[in-house]
Amino acid sequence: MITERLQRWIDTALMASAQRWAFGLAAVVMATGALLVTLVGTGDRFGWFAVLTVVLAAIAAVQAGSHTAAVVIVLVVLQWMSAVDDPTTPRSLMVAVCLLVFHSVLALMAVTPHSTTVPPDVLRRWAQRVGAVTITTAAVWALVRVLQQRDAPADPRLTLLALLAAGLGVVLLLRRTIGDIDDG
Amino acid sequence: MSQSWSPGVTGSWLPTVAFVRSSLLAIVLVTVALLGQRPDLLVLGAPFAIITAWSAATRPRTPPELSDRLGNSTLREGDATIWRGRVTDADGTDLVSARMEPATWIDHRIDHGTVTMPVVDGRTDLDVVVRSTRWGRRLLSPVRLLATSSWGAYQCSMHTAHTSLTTLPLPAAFDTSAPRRPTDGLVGLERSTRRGEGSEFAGVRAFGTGDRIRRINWARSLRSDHLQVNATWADQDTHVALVIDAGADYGISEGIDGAASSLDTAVRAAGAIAEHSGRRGDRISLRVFGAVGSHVVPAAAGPMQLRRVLDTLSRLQPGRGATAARRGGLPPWPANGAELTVVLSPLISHEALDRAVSLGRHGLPVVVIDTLPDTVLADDDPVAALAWRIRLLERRAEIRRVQQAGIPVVRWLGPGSLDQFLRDVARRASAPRMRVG
Repeated sequence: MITERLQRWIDTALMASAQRWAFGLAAVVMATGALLVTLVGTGDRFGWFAVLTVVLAAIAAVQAGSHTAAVVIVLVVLQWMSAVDDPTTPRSLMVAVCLLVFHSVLALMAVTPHSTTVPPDVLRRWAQRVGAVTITTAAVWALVRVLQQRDAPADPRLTLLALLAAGLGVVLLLRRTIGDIDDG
Repeated sequence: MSQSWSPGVTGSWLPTVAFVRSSLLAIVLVTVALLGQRPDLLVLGAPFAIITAWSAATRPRTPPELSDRLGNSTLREGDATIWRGRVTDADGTDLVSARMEPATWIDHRIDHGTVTMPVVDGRTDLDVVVRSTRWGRRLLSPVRLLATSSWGAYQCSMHTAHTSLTTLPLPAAFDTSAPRRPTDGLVGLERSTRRGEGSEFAGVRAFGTGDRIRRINWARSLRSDHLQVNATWADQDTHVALVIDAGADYGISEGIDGAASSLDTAVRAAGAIAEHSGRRGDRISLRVFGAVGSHVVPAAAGPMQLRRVLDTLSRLQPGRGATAARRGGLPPWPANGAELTVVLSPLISHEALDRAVSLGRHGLPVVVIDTLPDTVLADDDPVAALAWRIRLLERRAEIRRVQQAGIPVVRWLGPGSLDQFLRDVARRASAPRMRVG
């Protein structure tokens, strides 16, 4: 049973396209990058927790259709919560972008066969989407930073309202853009 | 032959693991940010919240339509065709992936039978190269397609029906330089043996009932008391009878690119002889014994006959060792009218040799082509390998006895395999013969 499963894994790995290997590598790099950004400036080391996260990221890259990726993201967030206290640090934006790319790459891997090569048109379309979400996330981060610098009371409801307002504004601004991106 | 578009089966749109992941992370991170007063978690959760909203906003409402067809439903061994899937009415669909399941004797060298294409203006076409590596008639596996929405959030599974693919054997290289028939007259490439309707002048004789008016030799008739007509040699071509022993398939078959089994060799050799004889204008007939089902092609000439022979060969299925006698009757042997009988057999059962000897004793030219591959001895099981060695020793003795009875047994070597036999036939045809039995 184990031998059969191992053989199936080996067959799948041999069948995988070079592009898929690149995607898997990118996913692991992004998860590792999010961890490293989290650890930068803190006294924490790249310990067993981080190693476990990277291993799980590699497993998630192999089994893109599983829930392992969600576990990886939760571990990174837990690491962030335990290590970082500054809510306005730009590192939160970097971690968010790393997690966004990690999620997007795995989502694309999950819906395409192992041996296929995704056409450049599809890659361009997904890159545009990731770019749009990155811009929106940057706007949210800027909003949080502005509110924090104005010594606004630390009311998360206000922040959520601000997030919703920012999100709505961005959606309205990008409404045409989203349609253009989805239509290729 | 190109097929028409046939509809596929389409499922419904379902959320993917990626959508579940993004929505759960968005909810959890925003909730923790609110409860724990951590605005930085809102930044971390913002991408997932946006992706979730985006995915929900662009969710496709209706499943797409799928149709597909195979570029060519009849191929030669080693040839390739294209399976084409067409997805329409796919508004809201981002991309479509197709995967053709691996199948025996089907080679997907390009992308292993998978393809991914973006959807533009609600439609896309997907092409998968299908290469058949062995003769036969088989069903292609259904192609499974997966349509996905933006961000891979929703997916819709589709699949096609089984598609039939006929692969004609690729005739092996074959040629012969030996003459076949005695030189009684010349008709085309072959010489006729008796007088009759034809174009080759044979002599002048008295007019008889049924003679055509245009055959009357008026100059000769004026000098005699009776009408005289020109006699001609009959236009007669050679009837090549192919007989295949398909009682079992021995050896390993790796398709057109690898090792050949006994039935592979028999089928390709028969195709080669049929093609060669067809080009010469000979009549070809085919009879198969031991196979599943009845396979008989009556003698005829012309390019369509070659196609009929190849089509019949492509349908052969070995009878798993059962002899034709046990399978309920043998097809009649081509003893009548066949100028050349070629028996292709691995010579493991006695049936082919017995029949060849029977034909030979009737004075008919018959040759046996040994199609057993050498790889049968390479068996991992030592007992099986020993059994094969013993059987091959017995077989060698049987072949020797058949050869002593005047029936040539040759191995298939491609061009020139039958040269010696055909020279012997031509030589014997000019010698006096005695019919026995």
